[in-house]
Parts: sequence; C-alpha cells; structure tokens
Amino acid sequence: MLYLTRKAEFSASHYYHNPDFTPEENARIFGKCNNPNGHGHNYTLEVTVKGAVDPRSGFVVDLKQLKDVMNREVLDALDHRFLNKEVPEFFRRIPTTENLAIAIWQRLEPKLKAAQLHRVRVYETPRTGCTATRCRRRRTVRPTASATIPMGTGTTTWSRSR
Amino acid sequence: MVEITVSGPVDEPTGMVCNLVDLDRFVGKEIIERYDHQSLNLLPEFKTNVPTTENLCVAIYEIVKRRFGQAHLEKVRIEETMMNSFEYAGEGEKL
Repeated sequence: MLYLTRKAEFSASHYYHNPDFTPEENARIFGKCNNPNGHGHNYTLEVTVKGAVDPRSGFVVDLKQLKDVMNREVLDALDHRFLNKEVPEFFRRIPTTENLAIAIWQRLEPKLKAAQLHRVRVYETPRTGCTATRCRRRRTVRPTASATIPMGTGTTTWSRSR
Repeated sequence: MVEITVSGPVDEPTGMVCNLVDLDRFVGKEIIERYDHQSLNLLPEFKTNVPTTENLCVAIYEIVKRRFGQAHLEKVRIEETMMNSFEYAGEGEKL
C-alpha cells in the first residue's frame, strides 16, 4: 500500500454561531469568532490517498486527476468564499475546522476512482488543524482536532482527539 | 527530500532508539550515493519499473529494510515537490 499526499491552499472566511444558543452563550463559547461579519483564514489542505502501485504506470494514482478532482470538488467551492453563506454544508452546520475536514472528505470520497481516500487534514493556521479519517468500526468519518501541529514534518503528533 | 522513520525501544545506557550518526551514515552511503545526481532510468531497479516517486519510495524502503539492522523500519517518505509527497511502509495497510 502506497500513500500519496497532495497539498493545496485556499482562503475563506467564516464565523461561528449556533442559533440554538442565546446571544450570551454564543459570545461565551465562540468569543471573537462569533462576529457575524466574519474573519478569514488561509487554509492548507492535505489530501492523502492510498492504493497499490500500478505495475505498468508506476502510479498509485494519476496526480493530474487527483489535482483536478481537488480543484473541482473542493477549491472551486471553498476558495474565496464566505463559508456560512456560500457553501451549503455550512448553512446550518458551524464551519469549524472539524466540520470543514468532514465536508471535504464527503466531497472528495465519491469522486475518487483509482485510489482510496485515506486522510483529509485541514490546517486553519500553521499551528492548528484537524484531520478526518475513516473510523473502521463505525464506518463513519472521524475528525481529530489538534493544536501545535509541526507543519511539513513527517512525524506529526496529534495532541488532542475527540 | 527523503525521510526514513525507524522505531524501537530506547536503549537505557545511550538513551537512543538507534545511533542517528549510524543511520545518517547508512542513508548517505546506501541511498544518497546510489541515487543523487543519477539518471534513475539507467539503474537496474528501474529497468522494468517506471522510476516514479512511488517506485523510488518502494526501492528505498527495500534497501533500508534489507540492510539497516539497528532499528525497525517504520516508513519511507519522499517529498517530490512542496505540494506532493509519497509514503511507503511495506505491504498492507500500515499507516
């Protein structure tokens, strides 16, 4: 099994607000992120796919195809968008990095044909990010949140999970 | 960029999994010397295999697995560009 990770970057804005909370609760729980005028992030996305190496091509997946799927399914939909207002997944759900990782997983998985999706990692800042992987037991997508992720290293330690 | 990850218990007297100097020397001699500034297509392991980064990753894994005995090889990771990287940890789903 060979794992291929493709990185991409996008910028988007969002704010955190749950209409079921009182204004005080929203302010207390979400703090500055509750400002309805939003704030922006430069996100880094890492998509990892896995599969056997095709003995004829030497590829696990055609990188060009993977790039096209990521551009079409994720970047075109999220880059330079106000997530709460322009991306249907977040009309009701809060656009946290956790939910963003799950949404990206759900957008990509049905479109990947040659290789299998292994992991979606979204960095909101260079120090904080979130990973979605398939939960083997329940066959659902499981997000893992983390602070202090050493970017660009191969040995990443996930300090916090939920 | 090539990353070799090895694992093992920490040796009490030295506080090391394996001596990094030995690993570094091994990689320099067996990997870097073999592949750096070479035309991969001309090497025997790529006579019948296309020298994709996938196959290079597997080739490096096999060399380290076979010849580096000081610690357990976990995986080999190659950064092909800033945007693409490849990992191999042997047959099966190890990562």
